[in-house]
Amino acid sequence: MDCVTTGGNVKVLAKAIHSLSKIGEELYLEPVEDGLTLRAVNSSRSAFACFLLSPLFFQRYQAPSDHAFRCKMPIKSMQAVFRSLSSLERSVEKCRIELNSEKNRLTVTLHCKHGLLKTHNLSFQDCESLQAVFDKENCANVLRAQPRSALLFESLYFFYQKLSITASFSDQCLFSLWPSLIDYTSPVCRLWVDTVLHFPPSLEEVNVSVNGERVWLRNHLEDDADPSRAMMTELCLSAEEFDHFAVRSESNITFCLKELRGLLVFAESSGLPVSMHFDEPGSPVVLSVSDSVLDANFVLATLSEDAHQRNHNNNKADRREAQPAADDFMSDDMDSYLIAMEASDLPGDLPGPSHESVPPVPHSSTNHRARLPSEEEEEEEEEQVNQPPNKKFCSLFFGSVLPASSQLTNQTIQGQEVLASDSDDEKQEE
Amino acid sequence: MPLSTQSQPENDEYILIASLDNVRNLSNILKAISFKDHAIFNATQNGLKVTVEDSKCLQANAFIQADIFQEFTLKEDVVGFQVNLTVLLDCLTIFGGSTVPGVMTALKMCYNGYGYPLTLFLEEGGVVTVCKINTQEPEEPLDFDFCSTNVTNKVILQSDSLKEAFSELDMTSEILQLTMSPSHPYFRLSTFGNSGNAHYDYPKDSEMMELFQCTKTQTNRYKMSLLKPSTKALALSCKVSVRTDSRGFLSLQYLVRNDDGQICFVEYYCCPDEEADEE
Repeated sequence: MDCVTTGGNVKVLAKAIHSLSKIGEELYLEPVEDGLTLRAVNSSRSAFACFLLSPLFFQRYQAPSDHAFRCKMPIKSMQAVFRSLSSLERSVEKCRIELNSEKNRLTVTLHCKHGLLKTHNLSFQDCESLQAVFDKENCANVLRAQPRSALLFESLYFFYQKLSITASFSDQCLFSLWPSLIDYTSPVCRLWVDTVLHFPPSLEEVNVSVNGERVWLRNHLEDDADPSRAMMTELCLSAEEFDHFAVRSESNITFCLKELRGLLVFAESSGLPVSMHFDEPGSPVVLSVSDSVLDANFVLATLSEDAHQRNHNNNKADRREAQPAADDFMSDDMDSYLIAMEASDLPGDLPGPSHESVPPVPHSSTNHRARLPSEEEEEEEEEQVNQPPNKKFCSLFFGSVLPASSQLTNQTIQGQEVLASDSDDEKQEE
Repeated sequence: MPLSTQSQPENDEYILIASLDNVRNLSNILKAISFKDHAIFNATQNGLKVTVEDSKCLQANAFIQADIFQEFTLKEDVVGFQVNLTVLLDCLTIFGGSTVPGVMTALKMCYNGYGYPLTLFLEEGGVVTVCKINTQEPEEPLDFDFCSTNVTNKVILQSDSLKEAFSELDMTSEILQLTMSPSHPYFRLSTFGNSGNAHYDYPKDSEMMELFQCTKTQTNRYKMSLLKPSTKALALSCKVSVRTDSRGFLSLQYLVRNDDGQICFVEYYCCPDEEADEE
């Protein structure tokens, strides 16, 4: 195996690796005819990412001719080679990855300015091919947006990054925030997050719901979170903000945002549009970035309906809320929105009605029944099993996968049994 | 030490007086060798030499010539003492980092001989702080016996290129291996860490290589933990000379420009690691 990358692509390669490091601790590397695949999976098998770098990405690409080569190594080893992105940009002219079969090492050589040569001989382990089971093409809903104007994706930044908020908003989206932190900067249709906000540690999950015209993003609170102390945040984005907005079925999915960080950083720096493919709760959500020489897919498991009764109710509740709420959004007047929310008798969308200064936001994880404060909700919450979030997510895949066919990541493999399942609760199919 | 029992010495009782308009011209350089608590100060007519040692294997020296000081008065040929370098640096930087450009802290350092503390007068913006630091009997610094006649290989590199390499060194490697040779790979830094090994090669005709005088191929290993502190000196410097002698001892000499553009030197001497060869 022998691949040579030059110029700006070295930095792209480095970013892909840093991206993958946000998912899992091991890097799976497999050169195939279609290109070099770099993959990672998290420990609970609920997040998977794959970068496919086509032969055109490289100045020279030579896949191993005789037998298939697959390896995995601690991702930190590879990251160490590409540690400083700024110095990569400044000084690296060429990067060569080759397999040294005699010494059983993967050699990464960086040819830098002034004749400096950095050679890294990395040890690796043989492994099975890593592949997630998902079908991007047949997803019911697809959203696509440019990262720069991608309100969806910048708003995802808003949720996961520990930033306090300076935000501007368009006339179609609205935030509920600590009022003192809002600084209306410009009417330009963009979200911009640039300082630190402390979310409770459990807040790593985001809920995305769509109907034919809009997308809502909400933070997903843990069952045992105290509603009166929690901050609810909801963003609503109109279909017009997206390059492509195709929603065939209204749905409401919840997934972990943390692992997405890598893709978002990669997408923003590459300037490529990000697509989001999803279906019903329980089916994975696939976020992807691609151009002519590169294809990246981040597959995240979503909370399944079976695991939580309330999600089911949520769907209905959200849809009911959506209709009347829409009119309020159009008015672009925060005060009238507040009034509308307080006056509405939509069931249970006021988890902490005692806080009048904070506009209440539909709490997607509580079972909405009545507009009464805590007690009822607490009762319901107690019913829920207290489990760490990851366990509620279906395991996506795995086991040995047929290596023979060209393993492009958007192929479906039907009827594959999961061989390795790491949670007692796992009964669901993926 | 109770200060009140001692009579305050007059100015002419000090055997060493060194004054600087900008204390950073001293503190910055001392930070580059501050990997241990104790430092040996040695003042001669030429200037001030400060030595820090580690495990009898590593020695760092900072040289601040007499003409860098606004005042440098010595009443004896050689004045030597030992102080806690960490405490000294804390005192020298007692006014904190200067955030206002043009505002400098002035220093007057005084010592009146064996048994007396080192007295520092620091002034910034009209505020004066007096610090007295206990001194100890100076230990004899190690003599690495490194003389130019024994030097087998010598290169002078521009610091920028080495800075990058040093900042990326695999810290899971216990040793840093240095290969210098008149033939390929010329000048190579190698590490052997958990994920594999890494090599940084500098060709002899690189623009970063100001001088290349290698007579024979030598590969020596040094403990990473000993050499890592030298990164501070490297960061301050603009050029570095790397020399090894026939025994494999390493000498690193850094050319440092202070705030006023004046030149000072920092040097590190290191013994080779004696453990058995691996890999």
